[in-house]
This record gives sequence, structure tokens and C-alpha cells, in this order.
Amino acid sequence: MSQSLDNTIAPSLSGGTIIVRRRLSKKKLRRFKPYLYLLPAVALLSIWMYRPLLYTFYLAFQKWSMVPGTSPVFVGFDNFEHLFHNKSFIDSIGNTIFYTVGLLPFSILIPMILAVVTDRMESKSKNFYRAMFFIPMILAPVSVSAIWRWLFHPSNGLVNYLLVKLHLIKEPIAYFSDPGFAKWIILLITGWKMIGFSTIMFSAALTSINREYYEAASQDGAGSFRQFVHITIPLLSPMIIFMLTMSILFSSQWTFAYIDMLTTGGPYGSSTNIYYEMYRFAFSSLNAGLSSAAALLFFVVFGLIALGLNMVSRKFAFYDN
Amino acid sequence: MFHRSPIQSFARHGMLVLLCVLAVFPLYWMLNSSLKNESEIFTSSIFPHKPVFSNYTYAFTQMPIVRMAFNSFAVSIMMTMLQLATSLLAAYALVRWRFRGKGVIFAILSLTWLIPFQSIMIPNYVLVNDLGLNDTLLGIVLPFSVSTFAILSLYQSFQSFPGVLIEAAQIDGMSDWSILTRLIIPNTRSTIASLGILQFINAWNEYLWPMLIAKSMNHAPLQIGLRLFVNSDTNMWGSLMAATTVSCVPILLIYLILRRQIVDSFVRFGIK
Amino acid sequence: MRPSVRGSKTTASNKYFHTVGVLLIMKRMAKGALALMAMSSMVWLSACGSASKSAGAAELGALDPANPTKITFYSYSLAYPTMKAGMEQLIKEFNDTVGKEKGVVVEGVADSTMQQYKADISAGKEVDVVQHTFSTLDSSRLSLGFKAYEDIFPKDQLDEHLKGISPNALELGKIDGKMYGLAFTFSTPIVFINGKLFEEAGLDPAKPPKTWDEIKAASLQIKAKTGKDGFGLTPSNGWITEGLILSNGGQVLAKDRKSADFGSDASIAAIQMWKDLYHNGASAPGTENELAEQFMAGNLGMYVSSTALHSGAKKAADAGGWKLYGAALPQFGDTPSVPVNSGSVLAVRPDSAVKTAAVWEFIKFVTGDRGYTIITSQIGYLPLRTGLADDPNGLKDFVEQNPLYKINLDQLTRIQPVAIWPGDNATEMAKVFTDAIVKSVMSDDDVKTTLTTAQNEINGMMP
Repeated sequence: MSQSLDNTIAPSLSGGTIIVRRRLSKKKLRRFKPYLYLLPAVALLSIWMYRPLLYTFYLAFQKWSMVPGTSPVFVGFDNFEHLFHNKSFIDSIGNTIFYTVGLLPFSILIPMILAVVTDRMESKSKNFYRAMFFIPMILAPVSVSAIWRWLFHPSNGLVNYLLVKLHLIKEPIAYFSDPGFAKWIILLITGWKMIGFSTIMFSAALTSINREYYEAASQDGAGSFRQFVHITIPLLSPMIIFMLTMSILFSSQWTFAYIDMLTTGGPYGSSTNIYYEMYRFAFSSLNAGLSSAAALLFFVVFGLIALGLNMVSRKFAFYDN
Repeated sequence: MFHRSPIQSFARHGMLVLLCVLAVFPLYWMLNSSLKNESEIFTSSIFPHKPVFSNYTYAFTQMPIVRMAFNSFAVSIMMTMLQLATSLLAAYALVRWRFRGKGVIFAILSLTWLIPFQSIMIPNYVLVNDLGLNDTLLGIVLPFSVSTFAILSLYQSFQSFPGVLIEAAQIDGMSDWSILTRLIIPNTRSTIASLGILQFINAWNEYLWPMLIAKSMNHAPLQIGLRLFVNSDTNMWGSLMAATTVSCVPILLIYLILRRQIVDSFVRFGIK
Repeated sequence: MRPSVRGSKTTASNKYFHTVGVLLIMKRMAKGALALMAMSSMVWLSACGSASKSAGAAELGALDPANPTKITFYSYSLAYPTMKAGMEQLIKEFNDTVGKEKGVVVEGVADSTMQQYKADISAGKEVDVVQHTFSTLDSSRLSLGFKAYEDIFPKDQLDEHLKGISPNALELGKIDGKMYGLAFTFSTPIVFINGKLFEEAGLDPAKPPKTWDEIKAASLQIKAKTGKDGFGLTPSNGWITEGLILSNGGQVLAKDRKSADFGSDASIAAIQMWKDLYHNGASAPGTENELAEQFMAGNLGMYVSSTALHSGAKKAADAGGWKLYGAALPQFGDTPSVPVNSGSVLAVRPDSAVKTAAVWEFIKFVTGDRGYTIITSQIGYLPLRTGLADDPNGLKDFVEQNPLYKINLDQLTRIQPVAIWPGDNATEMAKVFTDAIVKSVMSDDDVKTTLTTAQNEINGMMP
């Protein structure tokens, strides 16, 4: 491992510079070689990521229904204006924030506690628990939605049955068509799926914390709660920020499938999020311009958020070493 | 190091067992419901009194499940293979050489983190249409043929590959290609395999894009076929749960066999 | 295990450190990127040439039985288990008889979400005939290239064919005086009644409630006596709501179709009544599917929905050992109710003279005597050739065995068209309207404010 470098931007690993006596043609070929190896990846990225991204920016200023034989018409900033007058879109921003914030306990708080609790167990039971927590993570969103839809079914679902039996509610609740419940259920399912993964991430981070810190603290008479606050949390902070970033950037994408499967954004838009609205604008209203305008807007917003989090993570980076 | 009372330990295990139940109970309920007959499906019995397979036969007659499972495997394997191939080449080039524009390449790679699929779906949809690949498996695979996540992950692993070994191989006259295929790949097999497993699961669970492209059940992966089934049928919860069970079985089997590797690869590479 | 775990942590956090460097580099690249962007948009601009077609003349191409013309028919009925068999029979009978003789093969495409034809049209696939719902017909006409019947089919043949079809029904597919859709599957709202629950509650299912006040009383009585929900109407149903508003003297869309007009006092009062049912436990919560399931499982006293559910409901009643009754859409006070139609028209977009001829043969068959006989008896929609109900060779026996159809045929005389939202924002408008109704009924928000806000939003989207 002696040669491994930490400089991620321009690592030089190869022994290539050692052997310099080469003929020119070979040298030339050598110069092209890296590009040759990179070509498939870069070409595919350009075709399927960057070209479409630029095209989306272009479409944000056009009006187009995507029907072949029709062409986009330039409309200036009209799409953005419509976007801000579109009530369901404005509402969806609030929901997006709701999902993003609501997911944090599931991606950080609960997993961190679970990781700490399981950390000092004997490895057999530890592995068993973690393997179980992990199962929801690997299941497909469609299957998960189907199962939860059945569990939360208003007249025949197990959840209502139990709640009524236990006298916690008087009448069965129609979770997916009740504006008070729909988004909470979606949050719950997304969170249920996330916990296992985050727990394992935090467990891995914990394993690498030096035990001596705790021993020293223990000798100083610090209780487990104080140890958690003063040692564990600071040492886990890079992972916390990493999960925070992931959670913020991706929560809207993780909830997408459940919104589509369970509520299609309803009732009256109370469970939709911006990505679902983008999808609806494009493939239900056939309004490529409006969808692209929203995409452009949120590309910028999420870019700024990521930049901010990056700065924060650099501040905390020293804990890493 | 710590002395914990048995009560505390008991409480801790109790809490964890409860959480385990929460994690897997929905799956159990799915299986349970899929085996109940029509009169029992609406009851809350914990076991099916007379397990029946009629729900499964109905699901299999209503949907080309075998075909859809094949589609799922085909799509996931193709995606995984393409992603591994492109990222092995790219990661190798990045680790191996110093060259002009390397910074730009990293920029291109890392910026994709910020591009949600929803913001590129329209142009990609239009392109796949223009290529005549709508409602085909290839149309589902192509946009996912490269993964920057895989490239950066492999790059990280390759970085810790001992440089002396590469130097030695070079002095022995090994070509650059052989260094990749005969030295690095064999020695990082387990890493590559973990990444492959991860990408396979991701591909298997992909939702939005297959949903846009797959139109008919014959060209749909299991997930999307199931979605069509869920949306078209009412009051058929038994067979719906049977179909859902079938859709979960492959991935659960893989998890059962490769549990260690799967958990490990998620830890190692995170998720995208 | 330990080393790999240790490594993993760095991996995870490092992914983010890339981005830092990246953004710095991006700054440097920005200039180049802008140039690139400008360049590529130019390429697209030039690539997107115009390709509009001139309107076809009313001439039919020659069909050849030896070399049949294939046309596609996108149908949502094909995707629903309760309707699938009937629709398949309709297509098969056409292919085996007229199609074989004249040289036309129809391929049915199931379209459960009513999105696929849009996607396939935008994918450039051949979509010739679509079973299209009403509310977004105008939008499809504008953006998806559907054609007016008068423009492509010969006038004399068209006039001849339309004879015998309920004139009320024919009006429904017309936009600006031209027919963009021919009424196909058709239903009016009906109150399905569970006879057993009625009797258990001490009510007579043969004398069903007529007004909304009676509905409320009956619903609460069922709930009190049987513990089961008495009445259900899904707030998100969309179309029955319009009947409610019209029945109370309001309207959804202004007569000239230039503005939304559901914020009037009459409309508000109608929705207020429904909200009252909902909040007092007289209207069961749930999505359309959930309520249908509940009714068919025998756990709902009255359920307002489309006649299309008739065959399913009847089967469920037979299986569950109860009797199915029905009633017309309830009225406000003494004014007879004004039901709207649900269902579909056939919208067409053939792209050649031969295909036009093929499409015309198919249309004539499925909206002819035989077609409507199958649609009514096998699927459950209304016969739009109303004469069939008295025709012994048609549906006379069927209607006698299924008296619920009499209620519907009776309603057909009072029917009003469902709103066809104008312009290419129709889908969005329909959604805003439905969302506003759901919100008015379910939430505690003020009905008037909610409806007025939605009305203004829709008017902002008018073409």
C-alpha cells in the first residue's frame, strides 16, 4: 500500500516516466492511449448525460409536445412564468422539503443509534441484525409499494384491522386518499427502505474509530451518553455529512416510485414532489418545455445546495484523519 | 470494557428484534396473503389455513411472468456488464497515466452526481424513439451503459493497488492492456465482483426509465409488468401478492446466497 | 474484513471531495461550455425542420382483401379485466367478418393508463384509432394530430351511418362544429345499491332515495343499523362531480368554452352539500378502486359510479348472495338531475387514403348495430343506438333481464356533455379542477375560496 496516494485530482501512479527511451511513434501512441481507454465512458456520458442536459436547458425556453413532425417553438421565459403560476408546482416544492427533512431521521438519526447499539455486540448477532435490517433496501420499489398498499388497504388492510382492534382508531383510514396521511405513508415507506443501508454505513464508520478514545474517556469517568455526544458524533461527522448530502440530493428521487405507485401525487397534489411534477408535465401533459424549465431550475438549486454541503464537509474533513 | 446488566442487554435485543420484525414482516405478509384462498384473503389470520396455489396460477396466466423475469435478468446483466467494462477501462486510464485534460475528465465524471434522471429523461426518450428502440430491452439498457459511480468507485480501489507491481510488470515487458487484464483485474476480482453485484441490484430495481420505455408486458422487466398488473386489476389481492412474491424471489435468493458480499459492496461503494 | 471497511469510509466521503475540485475546474471550463452549448443548440435548431402535412381530402383508398391493411386500435377497455373479453370479442368479430371480406386487420393495443397512445404517437408509431376520453380531446386534437370525421370520410356515407345514434351523444365529440370523436363506449352515473344492506337497515331497495337529502338519511341509517358504510362517491372521480354541479344549476365551463365557470353560487352549494355528507360520515372515504372493492365485497350500501361497472357488480352480488339494485343520479330538491356522460369516443388519425378506408370500415362496424350490441351485452356500456333496446334481434331481452339499463337509457335524454377543456393545457386544467373538488370535499378549507382559486388558475391557462 506504500504507493497509494491520496491526491484525488492528479494522482500519478504509473511507472511510465521511468522508461523514457522509446521511439517517437510509440511515444505518440502512448499519448493517445489514456484517451482511448476513456473514450467509451466519455462518449457514452456525452450521449446519455450531457447532451440531454444541454438539450433540456434548450427545451426550457421552447414549447413542444414531443410529437414527431412537430418542432419546438421558442417562447422565451414563458415556461418559467407558467411554472410559478402553477399551484401544484408551488405546492410540490413544499412537499419536496417535507420529504427531504422528513427522511433525515431515517437516514441519520435512527441508523446512527442502531449502529452504536449493535456495535459492541458479538459478531454473530450483530451480523444477523444487520442482515435483517438490510432486506428492505434490496427490494424493488414496485414490489415494496404493492406490499404496503395491501397492508394499508382501507377496508381489508392489516394495519387498519389492528388499529381498530386495539381501539386506537374508531374507523378504518383510507391512507392513500387522505391528504393528512398520504405523504406520511410515502415518507414512512421510503424511510423504512433506507434505515438498513444507513445503519450499515454508520456501522462501518464506527468500526474504524479507535477504541482508545473510549477507553480514555471511560477512565475519565464519562458515561455512555457523554461518550456518544463527545466522541462518537464528532468522529462520525464526515459520515453524517455524507449521508446528509446523499439524503438531500436523492430523497426526491427515492420517493418518486412510491408517489407514482401509491398516490400519483394526490389527493390534490398533497403528496407530490418536484420530480413527480416534472414527470407529469412531460408525459401526461405532454409539455416538454414546462418540464424542462422545472428541471433547469432545480438543477441550479441542487447544485447550490451541493456546493454548500461540500464547503461544510471540507470544514469537518480533519476528523477524517 | 463495559459492564452491562442482563436487563439492559435484554432490552437492547428486544428493541432490535422488534425492528427486525418491522423490516421483514411486510414480506411475510405478502407470502402469507399469496397463499390464502378467496374466502381467507380478507381475514387477518397469520397463517393460511389451507394454503392454495391458485393465486400463483392466476398470476401466471394473466402475465408472461417467465418472459418478464427473463427480461429483468437480461436488462440487469447487460447493464452491469456494460457498466463494468466501461468503468474498468476508464478507471484504469485515470489511475495509470498523467495526461492533459484529466481535471476536465474528473469534472465530467463528478458533475453527473448533480444530474437527476428526471432532468434528462425527455431528450433521452426522444433519442431512444428516434433510434427506433422504444419498447425494446436495448432501449432500456443503453442510457445506463455507463455509470460514473462505478468509474469513481473503481478508481478509488485501483488507487490502492501497489504501484511497484505495475512497475515490475512493465519492466517485464507487459503491455498496458495486459497489465489491466492479467494483473489488475485478477487481483481486484473481489472488488469488481462487489461492484457488479451492487450495479446488478440497482439495475434490477430501476423504475422510471424502464417504465417510460417498456410498453408491453412482453418487453417489460418484472417490476414494470407488475406495475401494469397493479394498476389494472381490482380486488385480486391474492394473485397480486403472488405476483409480487415472484418478483421478489430472484433478488431474495441472491441475497440469501451472497449476503456477505452484498452488504459489503453496499458499504464499500454506497448507493447511487 | 477490517481493512476493506476502513477503506470504504474514505471512499464514501471522498466521493464528495471530487466535487469540490470539480466545481473549480468547471469555472475554468465555463467559457468553453457556453460555446459548446450555443453550438449544439444551433445543430438542433437546424435539425428540427418543419414537417407539417396538409389536411387529407375526403377520399378513401382501395382496400385489397388479398393484401389486408393493418390498423392499430388503442383501447383502455382492453386493459381492464371486467371489460377485456368483450372488447376482444368486438375486435375479433370485425377481423373475422368485415375485415376478412374487405381486407382490414385490426390490432388491439391495451392502454391501461391512457398514456400509451400519447407516448407511441410521440414515438412515431402508427396509432390509427384511439378509444379517447372526453375531457382532453381538444388537447389531443391540437397536439397529437387527430382528424375530424368530416374532413376524411365521405359525407354521404358519414351521414348515413350516424342515423340512429342518439343525437345527444353525437354532440359530445364535437369541437367547433366538427366531429373529432364518435361516441363509442358510453355510460351515465348510476347509484348501485346493495339490496341486502338496505333491507338490514330497514329500507326498501325497490324505492331508492331520489334526492341528496334522502341519500344522506339512508346512508346514515345504514351505518347506524349495519355498521357498514352507507354511501360512497370518490371525490377524485372527475366526471360525476360535473353532473352534481349541473344538477344544481351550475356549470363547469362557460358556454363559449373560453373560461371556467365553476365558482358560481350554484356550484359551490352543490359541492358544499357533498362536503357535508363527507364530513358527517355519510360518504365513505377511499379511492375509486378502493370504493369499488368495498361495494363488491358487500360492505357498502350505495355506490355512485359508471354503468361500466355493472357486469362486475352483478357478478359480485351473485357471488356474495345479495341482490343488486340501482337508482338514477340523485337530484337537488325537485329539479331532475342532469347526468353527464363518461366513457369514450373513437378518435382517428389515419395517415393514408388506404388506411382511411380501413379505419372507416372498423368505425362503421363497432358503432353499428352489431358493435353496440356487443358493447352493451358483453361490457356493460349503453347502446347509443337507442333503438336497439326495443329491438328483439338487438338488446330487448338483455335490457329486460337487467333493469338497471332502463335507468340509464332514461338518463340519456337528460344528458349533458362532460367539459372538454380547451387548448393544449387540457390535461393540466382537468387536474386543477379535480384537485380543487377533492380539496373542497375532503379538507376543512372553504369551498368558495378553493373553487375560485382553481377557476382563476384555469382561466390563466386558457388559450
